[in-house]
Amino acid sequence: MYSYALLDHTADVRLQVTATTLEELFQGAVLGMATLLHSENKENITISCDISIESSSITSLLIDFLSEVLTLSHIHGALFTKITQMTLTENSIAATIGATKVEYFEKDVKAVTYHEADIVKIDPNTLQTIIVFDI
Amino acid sequence: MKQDSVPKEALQQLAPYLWEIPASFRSDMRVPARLFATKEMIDSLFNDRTLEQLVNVTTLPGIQGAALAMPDAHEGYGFPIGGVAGIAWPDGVISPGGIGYDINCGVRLLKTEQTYKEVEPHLEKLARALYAWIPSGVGRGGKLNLNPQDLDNVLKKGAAWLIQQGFGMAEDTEHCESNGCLEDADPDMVSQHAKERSAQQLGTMGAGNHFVEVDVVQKIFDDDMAERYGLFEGQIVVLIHTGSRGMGHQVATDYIRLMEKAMPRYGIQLPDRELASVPFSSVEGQNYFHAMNAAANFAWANRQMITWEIRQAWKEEFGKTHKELQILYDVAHNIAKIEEYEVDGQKKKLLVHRKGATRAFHDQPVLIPGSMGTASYVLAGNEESLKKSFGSTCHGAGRAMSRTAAKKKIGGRELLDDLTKSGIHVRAGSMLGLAEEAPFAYKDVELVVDCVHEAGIATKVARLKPCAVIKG
Repeated sequence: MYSYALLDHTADVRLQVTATTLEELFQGAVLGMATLLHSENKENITISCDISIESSSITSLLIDFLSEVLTLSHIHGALFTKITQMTLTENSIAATIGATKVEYFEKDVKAVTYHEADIVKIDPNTLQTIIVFDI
Repeated sequence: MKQDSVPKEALQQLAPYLWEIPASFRSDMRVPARLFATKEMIDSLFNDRTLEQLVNVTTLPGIQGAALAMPDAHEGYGFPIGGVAGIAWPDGVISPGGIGYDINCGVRLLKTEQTYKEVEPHLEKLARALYAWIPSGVGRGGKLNLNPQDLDNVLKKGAAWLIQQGFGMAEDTEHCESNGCLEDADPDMVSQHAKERSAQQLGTMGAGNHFVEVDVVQKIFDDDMAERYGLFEGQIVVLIHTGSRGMGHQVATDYIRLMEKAMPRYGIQLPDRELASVPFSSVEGQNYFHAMNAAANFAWANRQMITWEIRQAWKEEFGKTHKELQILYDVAHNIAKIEEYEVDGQKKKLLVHRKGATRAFHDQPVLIPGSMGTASYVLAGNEESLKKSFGSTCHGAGRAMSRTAAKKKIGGRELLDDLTKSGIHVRAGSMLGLAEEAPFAYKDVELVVDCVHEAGIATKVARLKPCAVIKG
C-alpha cells in the first residue's frame, strides 16, 4: 500500500511518499511524479522502458531512479505511471516501467533533487520520504 | 552532515548593506559568509535555509574571500539561489550545485526605436504574434529539429552557429556575455540523454518563471549610461528570460549524481549532497566543466533563436520598414567562469560560481527581470562589484510565496483580467500556471535593486514597465 501528497514549497514542489514496502515506495514516487507532470488519466500504457541503476544508498537509488524516469518522460513525451517489473536491493534496481504518450506536461519539472530526501521508518510497518523537484 | 540552523546573533553588520557570519561560527567553515541585504530583508532570511546553505558553501575546498549571498537570496539546492563563490583555480573544486539545474538561465534585452505611443495600438495583436512565434510550455518543440551534428555545433559554437544559419545578425554576439559562446565546451562530455532531451527544444521558452515580455522604459535614473546603452524614456524594449532547457537540466542531473559517487575518492566531505564537488583538475571536474560550457552555449543559442522569432513577430505586425531589433545585452545568471580578482592583496584566478547571480563588470549592462506585473530593471556593473562581490550582483526578485498559496489567493482568469485592466496584455498556455506566477508571489524587486544600488555592486540605469507578457 502506498500514498503520496504534494506539500507546500516556496519555490519548487515537495512530494511526500508513504508506503509499507520499498517496492511500493518506489511505485508511489513514480505515480506522484507523474501526477505532478500531468493531472489527467494515465491508464493506457503504450510505452515500456527498462531501467537499471546502482547507487550508494537506498535514498540515492530512489532519487537516481526517478531522475531516469523523468528523463525518459521528456525524451518520449510520455507519462510513466507504472512499474511493471522490479528487482530491488538496497543499492540497485532493475525495473520495467510503463507509460502513456501525452501532448504536453503541465509542469516544467527540471530535476529530481537529493534535497530533503531520506527514506525513514516512521513506524515498524511504514516507510516515508520527501522528494523535492526543481521547477 | 552538519546542518545547524543559523541564529540571529551569528550575523554581524559590516556596513549598511553588508552582513557577515564569521568563519568562527562553525568549525568546518573555511571563510566567512557574507550577504548583501537591508535590515528589513534580514528577517525573511531566517524563514528558510538560505543562511545555513550559505554557511555550507564556505566549506568548499579552495573557496576564497567569502561565500556571498545577493539581496534576492533564498533557499536552493546546495548553494542558496543568489549565491556566489570564488574558488581557487585550478586547485579548488567545481560544484554543479553552485551553478544549478538550469545552466546559463539568463536574460537578454532587445531594443526598438519605437515608442509606447506608437506600439500601444498594436499590443494585443503583437502579444498574439509573439505567442504564436515562440513555442512555450512543456513538451512543445521548437522549429528546428536538430540532427546530431547540428546539435554538436550548437554546443560548440552557441549563438554564433545560429547566426551562421541565418537566425540573426553578425553583430548580435558582440552584445552577449562571452560573445554568446564559451570556448571550453565539449559536446562529447554531454550525455546522449541530454542530447535527446533537448534536440527539439532550441528556440523554446519553457514554463515556470520564464517569459518574454514587451516593456516600456518607464524611468531613466542615469542619463549618461542610458544614452550609452541607447535607452530613452517611453522606448519599447523586449526582455527574454529563459535558459538551456532540458540540456542544462540533464547535464546537472548527470554530473551531480556522478560527483556524489566520486567525492569519497578525493577525500571530500561536505555537509549537503547537493553541494557535490570534485577537484576542478580531476577527470570528473574537467568533464563537467566542458559539459557545463556546452550547455551554456545551448542557452545562448536558445535566446538567439527566440530573438529571431521575436524579430519575425515584429515584422509580421509592423512590416519590414522598421529598424531590426538590436540586442542591448545578454547575461547569464547560472554559470561558473574563470576570472581574475584580488584576494588578500594578491591577484588570483578563481572559478567564480554564480547561482542566481549576475556578472556585473564595469559598465556592463545588468538585466534584472521582474515578475509579470512588476518592473524589470537595467543596471550597470561597476568597479565596486569587482572589489566586493567577485564582479556579481542580484538576478531578480525570487519567490516569496508557494505556487499552491498563489493559486489559492487568485485564479488565473482573475489575474489575467487584473493584468489586462492595468494595461498588460498577457498570453499564457495555462491559466493555473499563470496564477502560480502572480506578481505578489515574488519578493519586491524594487527593494532588491535599491539594495544593490546602495551597496555599490550595480547602479540603477532604467526601470522597465511590462505591457505585454508571454508565458508558457
